[in-house]
Amino acid sequence: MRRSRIVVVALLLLLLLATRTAHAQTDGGARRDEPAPQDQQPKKPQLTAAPELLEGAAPVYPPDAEKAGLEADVDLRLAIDAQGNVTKAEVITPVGHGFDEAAIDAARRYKFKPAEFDRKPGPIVVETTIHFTLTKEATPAATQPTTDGGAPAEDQELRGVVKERGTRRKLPGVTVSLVELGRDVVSDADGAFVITDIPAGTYHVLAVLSGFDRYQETLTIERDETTHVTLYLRPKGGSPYETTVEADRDKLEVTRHTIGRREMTTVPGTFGDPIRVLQNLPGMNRAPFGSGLLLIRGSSPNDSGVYVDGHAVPLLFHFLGGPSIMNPEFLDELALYPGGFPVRYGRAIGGIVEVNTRSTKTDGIHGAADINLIDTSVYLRAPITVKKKTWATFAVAGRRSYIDALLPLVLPKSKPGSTLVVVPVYWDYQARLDVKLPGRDKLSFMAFGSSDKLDLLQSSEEATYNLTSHVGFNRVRGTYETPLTRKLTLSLSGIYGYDDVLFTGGTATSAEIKQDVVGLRERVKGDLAKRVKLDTGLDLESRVTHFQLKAPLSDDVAPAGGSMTVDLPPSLFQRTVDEWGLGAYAELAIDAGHGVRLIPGVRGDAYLLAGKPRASFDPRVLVRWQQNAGLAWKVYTGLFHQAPQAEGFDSQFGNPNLQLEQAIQSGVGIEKKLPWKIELDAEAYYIDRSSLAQFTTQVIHNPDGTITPLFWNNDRIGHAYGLEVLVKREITRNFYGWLTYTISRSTQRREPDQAWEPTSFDNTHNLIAVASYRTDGGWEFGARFRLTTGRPATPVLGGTYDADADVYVPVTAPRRTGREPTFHELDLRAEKTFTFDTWRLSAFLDIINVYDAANPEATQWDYRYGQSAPVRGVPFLPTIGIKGQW
Amino acid sequence: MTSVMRRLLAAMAACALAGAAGCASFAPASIVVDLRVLGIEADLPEVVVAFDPQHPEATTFPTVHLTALVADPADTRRLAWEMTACAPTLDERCDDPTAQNQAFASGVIDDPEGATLSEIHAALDIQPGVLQEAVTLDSLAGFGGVAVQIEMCVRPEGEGCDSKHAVWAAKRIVYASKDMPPGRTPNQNPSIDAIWTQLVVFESGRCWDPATTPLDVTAGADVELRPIEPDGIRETYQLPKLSGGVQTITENITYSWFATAGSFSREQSGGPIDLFGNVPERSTVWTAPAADQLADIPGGADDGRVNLWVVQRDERGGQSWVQRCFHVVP
Repeated sequence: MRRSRIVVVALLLLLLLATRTAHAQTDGGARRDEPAPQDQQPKKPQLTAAPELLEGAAPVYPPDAEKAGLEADVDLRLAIDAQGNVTKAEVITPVGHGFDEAAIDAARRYKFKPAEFDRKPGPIVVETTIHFTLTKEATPAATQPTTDGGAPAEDQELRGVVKERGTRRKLPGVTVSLVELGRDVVSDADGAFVITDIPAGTYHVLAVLSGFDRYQETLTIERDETTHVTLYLRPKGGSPYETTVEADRDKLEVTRHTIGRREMTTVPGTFGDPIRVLQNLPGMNRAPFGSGLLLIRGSSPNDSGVYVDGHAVPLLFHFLGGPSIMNPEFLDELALYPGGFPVRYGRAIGGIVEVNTRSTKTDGIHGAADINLIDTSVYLRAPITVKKKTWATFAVAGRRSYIDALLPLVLPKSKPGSTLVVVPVYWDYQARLDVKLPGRDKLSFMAFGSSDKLDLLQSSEEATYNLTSHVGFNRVRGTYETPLTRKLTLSLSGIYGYDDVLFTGGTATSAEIKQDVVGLRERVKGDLAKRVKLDTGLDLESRVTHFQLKAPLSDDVAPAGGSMTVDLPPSLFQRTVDEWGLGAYAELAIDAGHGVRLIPGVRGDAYLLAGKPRASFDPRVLVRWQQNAGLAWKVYTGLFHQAPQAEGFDSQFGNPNLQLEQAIQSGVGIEKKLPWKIELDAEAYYIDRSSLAQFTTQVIHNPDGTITPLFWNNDRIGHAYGLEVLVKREITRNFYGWLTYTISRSTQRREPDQAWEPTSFDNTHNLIAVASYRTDGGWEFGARFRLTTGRPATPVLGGTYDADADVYVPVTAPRRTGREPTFHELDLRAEKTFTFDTWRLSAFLDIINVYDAANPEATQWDYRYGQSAPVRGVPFLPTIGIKGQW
Repeated sequence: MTSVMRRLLAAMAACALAGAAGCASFAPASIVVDLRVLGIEADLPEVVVAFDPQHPEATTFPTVHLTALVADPADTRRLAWEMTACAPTLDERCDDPTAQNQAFASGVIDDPEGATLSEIHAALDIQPGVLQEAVTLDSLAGFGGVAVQIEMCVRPEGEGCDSKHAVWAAKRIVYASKDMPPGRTPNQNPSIDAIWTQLVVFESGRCWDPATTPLDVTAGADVELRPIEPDGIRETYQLPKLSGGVQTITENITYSWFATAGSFSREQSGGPIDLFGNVPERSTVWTAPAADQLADIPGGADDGRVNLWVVQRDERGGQSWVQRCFHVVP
């Protein structure tokens, strides 16, 4: 006979420490955990205390379900306010049979001690599970041995630790029960638990934590012994994504799209590379050939800045459409500012990509390895412990491609007497050390760098064509952070970098550019008053560029008639260009009441470019009105400046009088929460660009009859306008997705007497849809679809034979009055995660361009511009890979 | 620096992708199958007169005689042509109705493969207005010489230049001004003494000339072709420097190879040392068409005759050419 004993494990509370949120990534900042590098960004509001259940309420087992012998787990999402009351309870996935209603009824009666952020009570949204389980009376499993006297000895102990299966992460807040005794305990911050006074015998051990599968096992407690166990809880779906916490946060930017941990590695078509996910956000134009160019709101890639922990870096991606230069394990968060970025960033007139690395954890030795068809990367992190005291933690990672080893297998064999060697190699490395300091002080060091090299050698008896190219950079950073007052924090950060670009073509042509970079940042941030926040600092950057060029060029010979080609012997040119920039900025965030926040800021930059001073003054202002909990309005305008590229103001091959480039960015937008957990973020913008540097054939005729070429001028102007719409489904345990559409126009005029034309990467329409679904069985399936207007192109109407040069020159319509065909592509991804007790293994298949759309990126012509063929984009391209984490 | 790094990475990617994707297959420029202009020779190739670029009307310029090499192997037809002079343009056409366009010659020639001469002849007396406009549009204002563009349109007789059968060619003639270095001598057209095949002089003329004795070649065979130059063909000349003074430069000579069938190992030979430091070969190897391709030789020459053109160029607009004939034996 079976007697019902209802075990309703609703031991939510402490589970909440590990709650998942229903939050996503690109909300423009509706998060309390605003991403920020430890050294430069505003300090994140940290969850300093999880909500604790003060008063529980036993759910009522639905009678019909009980009669029918049904059991269920009901996943709930609870909104808990700053007073600890449950303001909203909803079932995430209905299970029926009365379980949903019973669970909601119980949850609404819970009373919590509220969650705390930076030690202040605050609202939070959490997810938890109420388990409805039918068990038999204690008889089945528990055979209770007796003492010699026949009575059970109750002095045994059960000690254990609860860990996440696959990662060995210690899990606090897990409710561990000995079912037969009705004894429950909760694991502490280290995942440890102790149950005392247990009679020897055999028991069912039950461990429950929201977001994890229920753990159940039979355990025998031996007499006069302390039993030690390790319980491994399996995350639902097999691969947990990081805890994020939803709540209102301070909004100090208008448009800031962020990417959460889960989306970093699972968006189809990105090969699991987090930084490539950025290219699927509003404001990003499509980069041709799958390249990693950052094309923000139609601007040049050189107009946008990439910052790692607050310091500019020259590159984000390896070549060949390869991965980003940073191992995903190092990433804390990625953010894209397509416009109107805050004053702490300067020297850019386009947008900003912010890459923040995360501090290394002290939770033991962990690692990861990622193996795919073109490269392998490894990652390791560990604490440094001396005399049982952890004084620091470190993490290292490295990646190397092996295309160079595989390419000979697919390249055609060389003819006898000739040689063809193609050696593409890229690698990157990262290392980080976090030193534990007393109090709230923080000290960290990081080194990272990358290298891309492509060697081509084709030789025969007659000639040798040897092409060598290399692009590399290295950075070493140190950051110290300390509280100035209780509410103000000071951070100091310095970086040194060395960049190297090399290109050689045999013995006659070579170019080498080396650059030394030094950067210093000082930042003070915090609360000035109850309604006023301050963010101010200094930002110094020095770049010394050494050029060495060997080429058949002359800057001093007038070609015959100003038109014909003159073949000159190779000359060697050596130049050094110094570039200094010192910036100071200050920004206030003022709560004006009624939901209105004013954020005025100003930035001043002084430059010394090749010995000549420049200065800029950039005021920016943002107003945000939170009309109600579900609706916000925003408007901004601001001034932005940047120095031209170093080659532009060199005194010999550039124009030393070149001025700073400028942009005025303005925008207005709305954020609206819609039903079904859908969020709408729309923004219209206008950008006015002026004083843009460009190469020119203009010259100065001197009174003595000589001529001075200008090489560069600031005559180019441009403007861009558009509307960006992002519709995003709130991230849940199983699903995330978004739809973004941009209609825009970006144009430029090169000289006052010339016509306006689209910029190189202008896309009128850009639609991107991303969705990914994870099953509880460890599978994840995703799809991405892109539909984009083709890039501007100049129609070719025919050709003219140049009888002097024996080539045809194209006859064209006005520049960029045509378009390449519309781009459309579907990418799919499937990933299976196998979770073992101490490690995880994932295998994925990522297919780019599933239906093999041609997607012409350019047009190839015959010698006389009579026949053409499309240069197609990335074809149907399946890739596979495996990834292990422990 | 950042832009250079990004550009180089993009170039590296493009290079690798181009290699991976391959290139579309088009007919090579060296095989002439229809109406083509293969060269335009000017005599004088460069006009050195000490004139004031701002007042060219004050100077009398010598007549420049132009000769265009035309091929039209696919058809037997007369060709109409016209030439126009104007200031240089990017697409090398003189079609801006607001510009100074000097239409200075036109005419009709017999089928180039059937006529005694397969060339077009014209004479240019440049109008001061064209020179003046060329100076105005030149960013150097005529410093180092004023270039005038000669545009030529050739099409089947009875059709206009807007016909899809029309072909266009262009050449530039430099009118060197008073800014030229003292002692600067005008450029001269280069010349070819002979074409050697292995160690034998290839002396035949045009295929359609009854007096020509073609060189017999077995179908599919390789024939090395080497142009023989007269001594001193590479002239030394001076260019004014923008900053003052002069720079002395020695010409490079290039050869362009054309034929109505077969293929060349190099479509162009000679020229300067390339960017990789290779000293270019002056010779090329012509591979005769296979026996089963002889019927495809344009012009209906089913007897296996293949016309060969070699066009020689210096880097200053000087040109000359020779024509030869192969007879491909199955």
